[in-house]
Amino acid sequence: SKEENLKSKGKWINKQRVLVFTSRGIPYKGRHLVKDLMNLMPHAKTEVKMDRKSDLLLINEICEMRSCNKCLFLVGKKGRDVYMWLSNVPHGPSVMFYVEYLNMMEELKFTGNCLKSSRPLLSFCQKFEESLHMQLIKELFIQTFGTPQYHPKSQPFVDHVFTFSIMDGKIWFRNYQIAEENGELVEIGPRFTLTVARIFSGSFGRSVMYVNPDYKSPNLVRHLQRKENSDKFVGKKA
Amino acid sequence: FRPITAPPPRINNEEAIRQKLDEIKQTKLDWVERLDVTVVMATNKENVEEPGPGIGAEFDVHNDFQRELAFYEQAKESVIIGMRKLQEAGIKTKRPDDYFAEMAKKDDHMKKVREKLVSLQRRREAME
Repeated sequence: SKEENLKSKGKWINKQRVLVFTSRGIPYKGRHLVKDLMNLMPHAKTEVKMDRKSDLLLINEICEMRSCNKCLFLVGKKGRDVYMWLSNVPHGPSVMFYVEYLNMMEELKFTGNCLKSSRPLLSFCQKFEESLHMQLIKELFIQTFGTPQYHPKSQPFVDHVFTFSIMDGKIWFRNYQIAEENGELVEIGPRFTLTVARIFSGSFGRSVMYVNPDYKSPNLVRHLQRKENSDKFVGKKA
Repeated sequence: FRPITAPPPRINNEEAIRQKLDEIKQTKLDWVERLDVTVVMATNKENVEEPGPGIGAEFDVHNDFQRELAFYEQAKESVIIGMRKLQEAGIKTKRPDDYFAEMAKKDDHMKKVREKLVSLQRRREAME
């Protein structure tokens, strides 16, 4: 058939397999993100939710069992915060991000659409080249989010583009349909931002190579907010 | 145990990061295996001849319109570069009209999207 013809032309050499899954207690938006990523990444597999108390290093074993060399693991905390681990299994490096401003593909404001398993173009802004740790993250993104050429489950067309931009100290993700090849685009979703927290040399651990000095954990942000409010109250009373 | 308000330790081990980067780089792979494109964002371009609408000196990240436009422009530029590269590599980019395959969003979802667009338009017309 035509489909077979188009598919069986070349050899699949860039063997990337990504395990996408979450911890227990993830907010619904995190769960939807996994669903959207599974939908857009034909080279991804998923796994049952992992117990929150288990050692993160266990993930390396799970990845090995599922023969995955990349892992995208979402952690939910306090029922509202979402963190994302991105790791090169088994030798590292791995990055921990804080995830914010999540919009899912299901939302009706995104009017674009693409093939379920076509390969995306990966667009980066020049700022990724300005520091070493961002270069490392860019390399991890290319290997994780890009669909390998001739992957058996992929479609041989390029009809959408993943955009990674650095702005306001965060990495912003967008996904657009390529409506016309002259660059007319329609957004497909999902949307999210990632703030780098730490970069580790190993997969889910070992030594810390980078700490983002501008990253404030959501707990700290809430703590400061509460303190500010209480100071206001004390000031009023005095 | 570190108190929550203590400043984070300053760690940026560039030596180790460079080593890891060299370790994982896919130097032997052609571009068509990776499909990455890097462009300068309009907001960071110095002396932009024709800045797009809303992209000027006073760019505001909290302004949804300006921000999304900046992302759109980045994606657009990347697509133009990427498509040219794909065509040079002899890779088909356009799906033939008679090629059917499963879409990321199902038909019933797209129907909802269209219905919403229509209702928005109707509301706009009613306003006028």
